[in-house]
Amino acid sequence: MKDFKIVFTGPPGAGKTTAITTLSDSRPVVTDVRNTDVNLSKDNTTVGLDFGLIDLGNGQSVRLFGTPGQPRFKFMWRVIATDALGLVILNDNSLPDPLAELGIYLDAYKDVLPATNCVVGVGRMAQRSSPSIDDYSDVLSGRGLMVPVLPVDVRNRDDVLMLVEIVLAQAETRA
Amino acid sequence: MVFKTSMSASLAGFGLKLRPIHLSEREIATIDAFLRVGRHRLGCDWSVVLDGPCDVLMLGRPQHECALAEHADATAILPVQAGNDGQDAEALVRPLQYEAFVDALSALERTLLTSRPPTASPIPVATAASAETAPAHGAFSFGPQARFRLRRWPPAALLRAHRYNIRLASFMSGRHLGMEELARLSNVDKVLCDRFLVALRAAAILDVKLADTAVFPPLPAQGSAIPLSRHSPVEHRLLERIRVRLGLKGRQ
Repeated sequence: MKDFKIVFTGPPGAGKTTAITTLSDSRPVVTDVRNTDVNLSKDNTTVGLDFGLIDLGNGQSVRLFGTPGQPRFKFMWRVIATDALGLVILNDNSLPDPLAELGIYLDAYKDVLPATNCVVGVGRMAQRSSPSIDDYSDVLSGRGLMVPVLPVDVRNRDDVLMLVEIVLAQAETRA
Repeated sequence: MVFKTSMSASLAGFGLKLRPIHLSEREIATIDAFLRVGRHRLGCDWSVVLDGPCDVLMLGRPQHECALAEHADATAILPVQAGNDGQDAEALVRPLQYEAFVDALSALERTLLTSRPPTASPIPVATAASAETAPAHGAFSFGPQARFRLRRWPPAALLRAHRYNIRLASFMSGRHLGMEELARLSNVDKVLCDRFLVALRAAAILDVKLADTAVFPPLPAQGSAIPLSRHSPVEHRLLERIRVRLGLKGRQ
């Protein structure tokens, strides 16, 4: 019996929990607690991991995992992503330096990214349009990575599905 | 006198010249405005020239009324005629309409890019040109042996040009694919695949291989990394089930 795993990672507030909730068949398991980090403008934040499930029938499923965003939980990022079908890096373009935020995750997964099905979704482009999607693409290309990058609104199921579709397309051609 | 239209830097580089003759100043100004507004939908860096050789001559009078010298330097002719003339289905109709104009230029781009000598291009198509079409396989721009992969993720403007472009780019981000395989995996018509490939080539981000021989240097960092996934080979059937389950299968 084979289960697939798709992992959502990225900085706090990028929408990982929302994206998983959008896709999951059942209410996802979340480990949110009241936020005490004054640098984060959100009431709650994930401290463990988020978990959702897409049931394929016949006992098979796609497991959806969300990593905790704060760098102090960095030790968990790679553990959660091990053996994943795909990695979705969500970023928040309204952060003070969103390209540097992306860099944190590209560094964390540096040795596995070139051979991993991966896509970058950039949220809150409407709030702040700079850096542009092409700026993100330049950063990825500058690191020698061929990683798709798209604007997303994780509240929109179609946007989240597009990210998953890209991961599946990569998996199909790498199979 | 040249009215240079600005293209995004990522798409610039494949220049085509458009020369209007027997058109009014107002029509020329309209053309210039159309090129500026429509630049995100065009794969090439178009400029309007008022004299000298050109790729496309926009002809405001019937060709038989013009001196041969007027259109001798043009690679292609785009007639412009009054709406009630009705003789030429390929002609643009006065007053000029934005959609028809951009569609006509898009079609001409494809023709011109495939017919242009490789040396005329600033992008590295000299080697890719050997993969280009032979008359035997019809209207497509590359030969059946050609396999394609993205050198980098395409500019957002290029992806927005057609709703299937993101899907096509996704499949081309993993490994080299032939046209048949790309069309089959993506469920996108080969004509649209070909159009996308031509636009990628114009943007100099298309890596082309002929059979098993690399045309361009290998992409960086591939194959040297440790994959996260041990699902190799991934089961296509299960991927299909995920698509069906999420409603992605057959989505247009």
